[in-house]
Amino acid sequence: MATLAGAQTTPYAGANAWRVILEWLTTVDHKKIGIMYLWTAGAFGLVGMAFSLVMRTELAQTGTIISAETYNSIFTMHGSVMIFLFLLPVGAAFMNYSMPLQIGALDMAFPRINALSFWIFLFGGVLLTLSFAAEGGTASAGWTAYPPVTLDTASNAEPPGAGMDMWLVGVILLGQASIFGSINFLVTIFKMRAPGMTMWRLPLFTWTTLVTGLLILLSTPVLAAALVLGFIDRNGAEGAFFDPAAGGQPLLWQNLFWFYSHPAVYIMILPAMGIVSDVFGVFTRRPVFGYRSMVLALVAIGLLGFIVWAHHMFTTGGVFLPFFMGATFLIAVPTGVKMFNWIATMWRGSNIFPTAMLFSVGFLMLFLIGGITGVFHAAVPVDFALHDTYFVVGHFHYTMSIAATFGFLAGCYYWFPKMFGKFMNEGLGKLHFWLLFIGVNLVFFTQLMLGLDGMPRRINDYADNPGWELMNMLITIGAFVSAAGMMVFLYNVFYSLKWGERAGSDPWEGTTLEWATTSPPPAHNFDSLPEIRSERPLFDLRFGERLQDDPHYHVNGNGHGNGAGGVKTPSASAREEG
Amino acid sequence: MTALQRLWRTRIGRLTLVIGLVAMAQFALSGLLSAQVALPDAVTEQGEDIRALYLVIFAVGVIVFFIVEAMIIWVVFRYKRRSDDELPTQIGHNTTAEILWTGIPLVIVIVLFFASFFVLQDVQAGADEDDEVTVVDVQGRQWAWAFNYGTPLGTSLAEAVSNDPAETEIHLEDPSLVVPFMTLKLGIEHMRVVARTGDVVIVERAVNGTVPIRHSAGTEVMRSFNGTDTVAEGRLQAADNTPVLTVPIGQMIRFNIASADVLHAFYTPQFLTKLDAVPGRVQTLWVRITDPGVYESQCAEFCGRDHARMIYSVRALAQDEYDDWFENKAGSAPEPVEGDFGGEQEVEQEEGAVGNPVNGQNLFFAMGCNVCHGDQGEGLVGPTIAMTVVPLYRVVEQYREPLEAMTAFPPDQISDEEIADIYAWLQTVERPPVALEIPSKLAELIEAGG
Repeated sequence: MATLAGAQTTPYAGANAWRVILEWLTTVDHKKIGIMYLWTAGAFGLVGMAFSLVMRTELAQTGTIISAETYNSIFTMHGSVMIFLFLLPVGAAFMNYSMPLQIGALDMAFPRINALSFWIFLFGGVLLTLSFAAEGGTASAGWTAYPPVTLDTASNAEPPGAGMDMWLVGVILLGQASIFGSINFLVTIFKMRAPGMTMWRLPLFTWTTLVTGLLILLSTPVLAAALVLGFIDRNGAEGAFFDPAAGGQPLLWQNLFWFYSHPAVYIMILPAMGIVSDVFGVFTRRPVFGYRSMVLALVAIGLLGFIVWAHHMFTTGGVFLPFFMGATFLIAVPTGVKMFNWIATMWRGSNIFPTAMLFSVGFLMLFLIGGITGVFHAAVPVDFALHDTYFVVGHFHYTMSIAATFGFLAGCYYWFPKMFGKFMNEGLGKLHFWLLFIGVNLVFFTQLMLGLDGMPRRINDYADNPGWELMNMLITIGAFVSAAGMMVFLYNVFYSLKWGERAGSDPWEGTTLEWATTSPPPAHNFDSLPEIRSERPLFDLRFGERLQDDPHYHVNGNGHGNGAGGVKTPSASAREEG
Repeated sequence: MTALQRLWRTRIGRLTLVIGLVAMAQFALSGLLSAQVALPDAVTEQGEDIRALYLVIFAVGVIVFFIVEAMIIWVVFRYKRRSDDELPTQIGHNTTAEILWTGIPLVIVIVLFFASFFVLQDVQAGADEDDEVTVVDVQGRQWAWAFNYGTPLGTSLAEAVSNDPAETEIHLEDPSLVVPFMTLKLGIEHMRVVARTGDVVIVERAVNGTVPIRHSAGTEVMRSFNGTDTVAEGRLQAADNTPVLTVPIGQMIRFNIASADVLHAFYTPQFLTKLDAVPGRVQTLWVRITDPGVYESQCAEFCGRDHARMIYSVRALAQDEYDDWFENKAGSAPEPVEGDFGGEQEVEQEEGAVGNPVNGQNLFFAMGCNVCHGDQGEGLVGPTIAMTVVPLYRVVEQYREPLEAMTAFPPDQISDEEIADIYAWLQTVERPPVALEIPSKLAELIEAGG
């Protein structure tokens, strides 16, 4: 275990403030870039949450407090900020920070491009946020920005102003950052793995990074194309692409947009799935059940993700319905496989429940509701009833928003000791978990019911139908309870940074390579690496000897060592021969 | 010691119980709110099919939810680390189990796929040959709805018409039946009559948000009329009045859904279905309403500032009540107009006779004509009247006894001379080059015309 020991390194101890700032501004270190992504995305997440509180305050009762224009702008920016500036970059943060460590690499394959990604992302994000100062305000047609309401056409009563252009350009930049990032992740995983780290020994979080990278790489250029066409339509072409009066086709935008944005849902949720897979593996002391079927399910979700985009368009009248219905139903199968594998990992496990594990269990429960409500939308006739109501709002928040956030919060509690050398406070963590868990269920389960009762989304005022005011009030209360939970989390972060209990290099008895170096790791990541013979090399190191007579324990892991470079212990070889 | 007490003694058990209580509270709450966990009852045949499908999926979903949730709670509660050096089984996979939990969900979704597929075919089947069909042409625009109906004009197309919107000359078997401002309905396309020269009727193609399509010779020509009623009070703040769509129960109803500007969605919650209004397309939604009543509805696709106030009501009447309403609303066919009307020659002839354009411009705004026809007479809710080719005497008649949804102006409000002044001014403004109708800027003004 000599490799695991090592002094706490504080690389910039004694440096003056300017040097520290300069170092962070110019860094190409994947860990620092990951942490910058995390802080930036976290800050944007708080902004997005503030927007949701404004919306919920408006909707708590019938009647209006803010103008319709303001409301439209706020819900548009809530969606845009949460998706483009919170969920996607938080995933990028963890992939940046942990993936190179998990495969035993020194850094990303292209460290400078990695830094470029971050700065483009930040610039795009700032541009998007600054659109509040634009004449006519921000974009205000939802994060989906369906034309022609986004266009300055003769027939559009209230054409949006410069904010819409800033939105388009901002999202193009964010997409560019994503594309750079995805190439970097893919090359790093394919070319920078430590000796012995075969594909079938990649930790599941790294596998999700790989599949996520492929999804980003293949889908984001399509979004970029749509955004460029949208920009041209608004600045010169007068709607030639998307406005029918000028010969355009509004559904073209929807097809292009969702060709990206459906995979984007998986781009958001897959890293969270990877995190909870790793967390389950560590806190149960068991191998993640069905490692290979987990990987295959991931790949299947990724592939199916490309042929279901039009299920967002069932009510447009421009979709071949049976195909997209069938493909959408099929997605339930690989996601079900993952769900059962996670449960089976805890089954007969030696489970402990620190906050990271609580959030992972919370992830399962929320994702389950999200998955089941997804089946309702897959059934086209039922979707005719539920599309664009609060049911769909509840459904997608349960999956890609809240389940993903629970996964990412599990990642925060799990990797915080690695990033900063200190534990997050467990008591505050549990308070955070319960406030958030109760709050989000109050919000989104009630939204499901409201949607069944026919309340459409994206409206700033609603009719006084029986029960609607009460349900809306409950949702608003839930939103504020959730926000209180996030305030506890915010306090916990700063509290733990200053007063948190010191964590050693491997505080959780981790299984993957990031725990084989100091906390925080040195700039070059590793002084030396342990032998890698399975997808959990540190577990082998810690318990391998004790388990060598266990017939279920494969020292070569769930991959059974048939990947290149596998090393078998004498006992394992003897067992297979005998 | 009861199981509950035992559960409560462990921290995880307590957490489990709290989760359970939260879930139960949710269901109890939903009961209290009388907000169903199922879709509400439908008032259409198609909606009932959809609701039945919903209930099947709901049943499967609830069973899956409780089984999986119970599994999660069970493993969380049951398997906990008892000592620090405890090592659990290292079983990493089980082929049988994995095949089972791949195969069973696969079978379930295949069954649900076919169930949904058949329901989908059912709700989209449309009318049988012997069904009586009521057709309503629905037009969404920022931020109101118009519901147009067709009534037979008693003639048909003599020659085929192409789908080129520039082809504005049509030939009817009996062109004497058309009058100025009349809107013709040929299938899903609406055309506004501009002029008639001899046997040729000149029209403006694809008005009311419809699209130009091909019409073969012999196509029945209908007269389209706006059947939108309004109720005075809106259900939402700032919605002054609510458009009302009137339909019969029992018949198959075909809604031809069009948009004049941006995306909208025709959504009546009690129908349990919706269909987007996509500019440049006319789309079909079939329903057969079973229950008479008034059903509050609203646009379900974000369409700009006042999306939330784009509401309407559906009034479903018994067949005989509907027939009375229809007859009353359609009115009798307008008096035929002798000889040619419209056309440049006549305008030139009359040019000397018309009045003072400066006074006309003032009157145009003072009388509020711009509200429906636009500041340049370019047409908003009302048709384009800039550089109109309609003869003055017909314009005066239109003021006194309007066709279509225009307010009547008796002589004590505006004299014949004053109308001539406005007419003169209208000849001086430039007719905008757009062939298709330019729609509303101000939704609440839609009703001002009628």
